[in-house]
Amino acid sequence: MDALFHGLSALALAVFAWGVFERVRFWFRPELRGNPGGIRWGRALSLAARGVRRLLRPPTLRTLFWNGLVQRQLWRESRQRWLMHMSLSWSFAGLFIVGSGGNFLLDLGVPLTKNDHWFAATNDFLGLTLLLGVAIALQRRFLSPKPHVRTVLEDTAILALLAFLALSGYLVEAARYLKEGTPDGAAAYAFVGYSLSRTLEPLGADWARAYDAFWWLHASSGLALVAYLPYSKLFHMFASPTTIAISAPTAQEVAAWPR
Amino acid sequence: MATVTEAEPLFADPRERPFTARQLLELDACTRCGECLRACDSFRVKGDEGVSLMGMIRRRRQLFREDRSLLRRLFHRDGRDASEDAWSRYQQGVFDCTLCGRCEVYCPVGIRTRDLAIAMRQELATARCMLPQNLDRARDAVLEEGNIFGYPNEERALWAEFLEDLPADLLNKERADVLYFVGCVSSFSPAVQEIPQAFLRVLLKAGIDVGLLAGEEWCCGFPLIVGGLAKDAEQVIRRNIERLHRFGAKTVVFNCPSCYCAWRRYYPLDGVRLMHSAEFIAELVHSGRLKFRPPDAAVTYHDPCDLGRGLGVYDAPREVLRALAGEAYVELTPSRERALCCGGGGDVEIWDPELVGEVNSMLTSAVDKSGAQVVVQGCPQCKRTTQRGLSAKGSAVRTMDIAELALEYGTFTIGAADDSRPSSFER
Repeated sequence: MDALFHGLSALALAVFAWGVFERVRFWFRPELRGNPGGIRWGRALSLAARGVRRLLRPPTLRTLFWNGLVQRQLWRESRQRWLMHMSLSWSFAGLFIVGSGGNFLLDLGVPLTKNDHWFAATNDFLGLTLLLGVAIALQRRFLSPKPHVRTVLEDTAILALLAFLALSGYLVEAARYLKEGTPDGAAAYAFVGYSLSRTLEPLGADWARAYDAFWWLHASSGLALVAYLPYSKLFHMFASPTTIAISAPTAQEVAAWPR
Repeated sequence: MATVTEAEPLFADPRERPFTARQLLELDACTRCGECLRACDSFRVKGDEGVSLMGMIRRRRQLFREDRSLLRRLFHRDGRDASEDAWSRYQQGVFDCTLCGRCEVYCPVGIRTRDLAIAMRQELATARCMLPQNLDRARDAVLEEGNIFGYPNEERALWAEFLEDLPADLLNKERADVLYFVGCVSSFSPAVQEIPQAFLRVLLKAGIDVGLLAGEEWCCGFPLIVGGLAKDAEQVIRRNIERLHRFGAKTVVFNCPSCYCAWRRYYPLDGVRLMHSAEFIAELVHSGRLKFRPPDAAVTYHDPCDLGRGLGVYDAPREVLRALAGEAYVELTPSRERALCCGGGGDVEIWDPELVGEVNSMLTSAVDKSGAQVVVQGCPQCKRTTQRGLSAKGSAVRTMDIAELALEYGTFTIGAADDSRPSSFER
């Protein structure tokens, strides 16, 4: 099972990496095309070095903090949209870091278990905020659609996938408690998974098999999302901070502004 | 002063490189959030998402996808291009944009929307030969006659000949400290010729050694650049720079924000001071050379797109108006970075004149709501479209350029300048 999961993870990461490479190659195509159409790698390196230098300037870091991390522009335009976007982006990032970081630590032999209080509480909390973001997005798109919001199939599919990831995560946790027994204090820190396990308990299912099924559903949908990311609008999580960073005014631009 | 040689191209050839790396990245950064639709007056009028930046980006991305799809690469390596219908729908939206840049203020991911829309036009006009027919004629007019209207360019300074108090040698001057670059619309459109007449009088009353290029002045190139014809604009830019060098002026003043924007952004000049009339008049106020008697009406100010969002000039005109009107100055809603578009930008008047009036009606409604009796503008094209819109609505609100206002309500003192007061507009 482990080998299969690691194989699928490697495949998802390869698809992801290829997508990112294609995107970046597409952006820099006009800058890097030499005669007769090949990539000029020296130019690529010089552009990369310039980008890093620019990124490390205080105005760029300030712009990135306020417009990228805190999303101040959205706050100014709509508090609801800000809450939605912050919930989606930070929960997604947090769950990815906690999930993959947790697995990485386990691989390193760090004595971490899924029942560690901080680990379960963080996952449960971020899952809820992710669902909150999805709920606000659905409300804005379908229940009281704003005139300027346009919904295409891709938007709905991404929201459905995110919601499925969060919900299947809770199912995995609940099935695990039913399979292995609930650890002490789980009601306090695994507040969603524990409650769900109590709700499902009367079903009397084969929880070991249910756990495996839920786990695979959750893991494979997570990997599918990783693979799909560079080919979807979700790629803006990389492209948008980059434009925000390069939109930070240069010293020359600031000097040229009328006073 | 920098000299421009023929060997130095001012613009990249869009046939080789229609979009910069930054612009291709921006195509990916757009999340289709729709904030630009909220900002887009053309969209409000047309109801077609394709006129907004989100729609343009979406359509261009689709065209890229069709060209680069795996199926296409496998089976149509040298095959057909994306459908002509798709390109033509995209073109319609791209050229219906007034390039007002309001969407840039709303965009949460910092896309430089005006530059991106201009790049899209360049690609269509040059790389795909999809320049709208009327723009084609406008280009020929600029390149053959030297002005966007296609009138004989010798008639460019006819407006000045009607001024009774004009110094006899003004039109024949070969050198002056300050060059007044008038622009095509102010020079040739009778509806706004009072603007250059007023600004020239302001300059003369302030004791400025000013000159005009008259028939030697050519279009600044701005209509060509925003129409996607930057390479064609090179020759008029070079010509104007060469005339400026010959004239020897160290300062160039403008009453047209588009000309000012073209010179500031695209003319390779060093050591030449460029100023809009609002900035110039604000300096006169600061230095004490211009004082106002209070106006008999409430005034408001409309920020022209190229002056405000284009060049960030918001405070100079307001300082003039506050000095003039004090409490009688009312701020238009929305204003400054979010000011409404007059509809006359982006060459839309050449390509889709009906759209101009419809976009302008939103501005005139805002003006009516402000309660002001006078709307002051700093752009001949804004004044032209707004006075037409207000008169169509039967509104009693008067449109005035800031130079007309200065002339009507100002008292000039030559040689009594209080130079100890720092000018906030010195660069």
